[in-house]
Amino acid sequence: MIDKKNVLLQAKHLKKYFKLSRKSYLYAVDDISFEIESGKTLGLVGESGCGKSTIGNVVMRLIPQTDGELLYKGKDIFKVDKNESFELRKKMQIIFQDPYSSLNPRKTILQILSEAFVIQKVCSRNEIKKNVLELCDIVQIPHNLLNHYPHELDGGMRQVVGIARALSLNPDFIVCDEPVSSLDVSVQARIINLLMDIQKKRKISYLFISHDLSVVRHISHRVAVMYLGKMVEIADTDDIFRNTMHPYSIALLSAVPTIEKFGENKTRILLQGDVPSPINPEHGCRFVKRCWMTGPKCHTSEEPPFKEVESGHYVACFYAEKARMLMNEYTKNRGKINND
Amino acid sequence: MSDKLLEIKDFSVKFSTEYAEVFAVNHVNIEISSGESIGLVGETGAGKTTIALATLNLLSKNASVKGDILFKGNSVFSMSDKELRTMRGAKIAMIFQNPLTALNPVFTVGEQIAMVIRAHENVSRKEAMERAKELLNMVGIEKRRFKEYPNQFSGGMRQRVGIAASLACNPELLIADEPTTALDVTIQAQILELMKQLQQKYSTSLLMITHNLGIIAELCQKVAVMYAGTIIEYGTVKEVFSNPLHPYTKGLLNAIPKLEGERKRLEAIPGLIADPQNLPVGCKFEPRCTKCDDRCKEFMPSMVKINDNHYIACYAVN
Repeated sequence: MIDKKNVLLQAKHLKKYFKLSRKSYLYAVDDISFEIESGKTLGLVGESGCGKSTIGNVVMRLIPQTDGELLYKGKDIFKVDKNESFELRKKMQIIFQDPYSSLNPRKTILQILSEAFVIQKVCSRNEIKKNVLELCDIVQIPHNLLNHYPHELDGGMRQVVGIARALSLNPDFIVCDEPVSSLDVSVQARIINLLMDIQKKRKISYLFISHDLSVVRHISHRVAVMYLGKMVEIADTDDIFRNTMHPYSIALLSAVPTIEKFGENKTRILLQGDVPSPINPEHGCRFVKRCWMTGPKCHTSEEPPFKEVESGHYVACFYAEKARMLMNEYTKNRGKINND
Repeated sequence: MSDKLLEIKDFSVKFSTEYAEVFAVNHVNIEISSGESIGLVGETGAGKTTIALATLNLLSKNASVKGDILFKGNSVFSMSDKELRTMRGAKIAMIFQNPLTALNPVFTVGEQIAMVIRAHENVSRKEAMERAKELLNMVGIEKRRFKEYPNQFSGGMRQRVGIAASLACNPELLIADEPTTALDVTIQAQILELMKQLQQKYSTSLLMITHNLGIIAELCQKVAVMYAGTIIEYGTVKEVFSNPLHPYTKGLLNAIPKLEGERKRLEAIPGLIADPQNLPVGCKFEPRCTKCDDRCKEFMPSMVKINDNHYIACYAVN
């Protein structure tokens, strides 16, 4: 459940269409709404091409939106003037996926971490070094690395530099765009712990974008599932994983290979075919072609409404109840396997 | 001759470059019987792919090899070029990580699969094409698409083509090097299901190389956990995953967020993966291990049998 008083960032009907030619558009993000509470994490999952990163970029105003509103503390940040926009950038930061291409290879770590202070003029020149050192202590970058260049660091340490850079101006909100997907599991665990510790200490909100469901489950308070530019389901983390309702979310969850179960008996919903193209998609439900439990309403051009099925649990499916019933049966079966 | 299909015996690989010597694989022993599927799991730089390439004698020229790899009792390193050519693709086939670079962009997928068949068997072009169509059909690609080029296929479909090509000559051993790492999870599920079915149907042996423990749990009977070029734990999947003994395996399992149950803080493994140019003398995991003693610093622990299904290389566990 979202505590309305505590909402830091709210997206309303966010849209981003990329124009490809006179008549064709790529519907990367199509009418997405969500809220993020302060100090909480919203996880955004979906497969490649579903528009997760586009949302991150639009929220950061790295690319212009096509339509919609984005309220930061109640104020629409798409409509603010240049000065205010500059101020807002202190409050909103981003950590990128690839720690190899997101750090300038010609600058030392000290220069990279000083940049934000220089640009935003938050402190005098003399204080910058002191601030950078403080920053390094928070994220545990050894001070002797400061005069090194990014290529001298391993992937995990580079991502830590990326995190330090995002933290430098004390933001309220950070977009984490697949921050751990290029890292090995032992390093990944360290970065996830770091992000969670920082959140606890500084009450930062995250928009955590990832394709890895178990990572998202671990770090998020609320999770949204996307498919082809649309949000298909959003709910609190425990709710969405225990009580999954959208047929796509159910299939996605069942597709993850896990070590908890030893193969053989595991029921799995296999989706047919690939994710269709987001260029000029047909009207109606976007998932219908790959869905495993369609009903008569699904094949019409009517779009399934994104409605609140239970408190705080929104689903865009005509037959969410039926899907959940099937899911429960499936969970029961898995339970049986456990008992045997 | 033994019933072992592939035996990797005390096998080491060292790459020499102008600047340094890199110890990629160190004293590895693996045996694969017919019909068996073994998973090789480890983080980046553990030497997984080097073992796969060595099995096909495809290592680059600056690699020097110690120990031996026997395929049906014959060393792959003493085979002539001709023998190697008949073995590669026909007896041991490989599925690569990136299906786009593994396929030739200027030939249609049908031609590429037919090429594999024609290289190994004396059949007419037409017959090979027919068989290519059958193979594509088997991996779930419509026959009419056999005249299309790799760029017209999606990632998952390309990997299906790769699988079809690798199975073209009914190989006895299939090496899959991170076959689903580049794919989305629903597509990965499709490919894993396909591999499972085909493996059961043809009882091909499988060497599955991946960093994803979940995939091993789904697809393999046995698992070998690699760290810095050595195998540190080996056994049946059930045994190793439900009762991990080596500190590294334990650490790895605790570092992965779970899809079910309570959300506990992840336990990161301290330190960095060992530098293959400058490996520790003793146990390779010793610098990051919390349970090590002086013996670990000096001597590399050898594989000890815990029970029939479980072997481990660690002094601390005995």
